[in-house]
Amino acid sequence: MDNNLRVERAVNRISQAQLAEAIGVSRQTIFAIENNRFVPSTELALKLSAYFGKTVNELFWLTD
Amino acid sequence: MNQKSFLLPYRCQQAGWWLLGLSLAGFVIFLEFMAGSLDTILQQMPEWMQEPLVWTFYGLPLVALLLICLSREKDEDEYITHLRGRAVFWVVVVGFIAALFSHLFVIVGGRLYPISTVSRFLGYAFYFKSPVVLSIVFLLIFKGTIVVNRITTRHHG
Repeated sequence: MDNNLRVERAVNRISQAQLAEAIGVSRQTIFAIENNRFVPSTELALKLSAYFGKTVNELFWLTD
Repeated sequence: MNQKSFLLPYRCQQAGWWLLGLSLAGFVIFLEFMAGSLDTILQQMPEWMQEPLVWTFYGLPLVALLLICLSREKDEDEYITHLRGRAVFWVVVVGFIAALFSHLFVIVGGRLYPISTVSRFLGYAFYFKSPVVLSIVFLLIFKGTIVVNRITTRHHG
């Protein structure tokens, strides 16, 4: 699974710490998701997509 | 995220670290000021003191380690829960391998080697299965990963 969380963050000009605080997770969690070390739960994926005003599919997608 | 957590509050972890530090400091001070091994020192003590001292020296670090392992982190979220699960997996692997080897030592080793050799290896396997060793393995993997992640995030974040 891949994501464009880093791109969305750059577009919205917010840091990992700011996003983490807004979503209610640690900065390490955002870093781990961006680097594909951790696949978030459905709840966290929904929170992230709602924060950026995107659908979950626009933020996360399956890879081969 | 709204899942029910069976972990103790973060305060218990802080209490666990204090308890571990105090019990280790007490252990070092006790051995430093009194010559000989712990068992010989205990034998020199009055009989009524021996049992509480044994519980203090062997029980306190174990209670402290369990408090640390079974408590929440300060910033517990689903990634921390994921790391905890991974550490628990490796503890199960280590415990299973230790149990497997101790079983093999009895079944196979008992036929091939003298009983003294088998007993020695069984002793090692026993220690690897002990809650203290398994707690330390858990903490090394779990806390180690958290620390490495914090450092990596700081450098690349």
